Amino acid sequence: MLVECKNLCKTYGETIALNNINLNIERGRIIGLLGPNGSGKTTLIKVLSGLLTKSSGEVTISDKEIGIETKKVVSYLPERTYLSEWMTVKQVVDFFKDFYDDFSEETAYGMLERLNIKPGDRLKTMSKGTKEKVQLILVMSRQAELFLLDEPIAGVDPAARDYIIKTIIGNYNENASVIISTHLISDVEKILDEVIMIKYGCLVMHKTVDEIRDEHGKSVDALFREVFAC
Amino acid sequence: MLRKLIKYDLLADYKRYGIVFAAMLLFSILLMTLDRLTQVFKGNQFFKIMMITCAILFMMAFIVMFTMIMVIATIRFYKNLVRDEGYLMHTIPVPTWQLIMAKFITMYIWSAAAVVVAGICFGIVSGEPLWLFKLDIGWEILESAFVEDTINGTPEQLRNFFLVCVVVMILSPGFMMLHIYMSLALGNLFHTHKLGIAVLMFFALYVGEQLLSGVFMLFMSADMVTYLTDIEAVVPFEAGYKYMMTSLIFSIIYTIVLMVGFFIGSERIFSKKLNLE
Repeated sequence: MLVECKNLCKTYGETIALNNINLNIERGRIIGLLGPNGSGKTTLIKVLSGLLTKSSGEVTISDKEIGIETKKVVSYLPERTYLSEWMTVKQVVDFFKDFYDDFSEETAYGMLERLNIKPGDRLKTMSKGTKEKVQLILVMSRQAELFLLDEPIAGVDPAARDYIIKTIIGNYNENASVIISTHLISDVEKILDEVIMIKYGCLVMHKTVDEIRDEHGKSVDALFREVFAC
Repeated sequence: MLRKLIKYDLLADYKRYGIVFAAMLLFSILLMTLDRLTQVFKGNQFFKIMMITCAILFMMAFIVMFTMIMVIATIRFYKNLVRDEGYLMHTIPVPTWQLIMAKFITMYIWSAAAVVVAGICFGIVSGEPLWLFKLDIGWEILESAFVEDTINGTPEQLRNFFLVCVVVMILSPGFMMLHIYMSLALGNLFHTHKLGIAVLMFFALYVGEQLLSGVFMLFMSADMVTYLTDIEAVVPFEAGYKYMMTSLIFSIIYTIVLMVGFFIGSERIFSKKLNLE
């Protein structure tokens, strides 16, 4: 098992962000992490990436507790820009090469070239969308075991969404899994193997896309609208 | 990994420091030029006023330069580990202590560079670019004053006092930096107003440190009470020297203990209670 969560809880003061999550994720899957705003998607991803510490329960990635060893095999794309503005593209590529053993410089430069992003370009001169693409390229240029992508297609135009989805499919390997948190279900539905739905910090569904279609006779998007109807 | 982290921390601010150091060197050349002009045009009030104004500004610029190092180092720590960039820094496979240590060492590297720049500036202004190599002359003058003329101390006492003062000066910026790291780490424990709480923590820690050191100093100054309570009394050199050295050595030990405490405290909070929301 790649990811295992047992009775995982995360609280902020009196607010319960994750409530008794029990979850198993296998290798070689693309998983949609779905839920309305404030449902706990980002919190779950942050706990898995080591940015937040759990309040109780157990979490393991490749049978290891969250820590330096799991950070070596987890590639995380946050919902915000996390690259330092003073850096050039070459410097951020060097940074990833310096700190991640599984980072492929060739893959990164190949993808950057296709987007006409030059190594000497400075991040502070780039648009938000271009910076997000650079981040995605860096994250997907790793041969990681688990990719955690938090809202990778939010706030970008449809053409860029297609590019991002192609990049995700084209760069992950069968030994790895990808968890994509998003609201834009229809855009990612076609690439998903499994769906995890979270509501008020509780796991409400974890099924394969085929099971959803067979059991409910609906698309994931339609089921999401039904489950989370206001 | 620590070396790599330091490399990126140095790269992040080298331009900013480069500008400040270049400005200081230019300023010292301007001051030297004005000094020469004042000597050539001895009666000229304009050059005199300019010279005095620039000399005051020059001294202030030094204070600003050393303060800037602390400010830049604080901003770097805050942006890189507590704000958005922390999403990258805390997900690289590096122990938290190295993230903090890299910033700490980088601050010392820039401080050392600033001391070198200050030395060069002083050499330019004084017209003695190699003044550092003539320190032995200054030391001899100081030693003779200390040993023979006024104080009646021994050369060994002067050396010890000087050494202790140097250690205090070296520790001071590191102590201040770790105090700030600890404050920011404590602010990180809260869910809202993290920066505001970090500022409050800074002052709370400061008050705590002062109270604690005050208590220790009271115990240590027991010998001095008779002198301190009697205004007329003249403190004998030996008693004053002993008190001053004891205070300074205590201050060094106290500072090191607090520095270690702040470092461990920050590391524990960022590794066990990281709260990037």
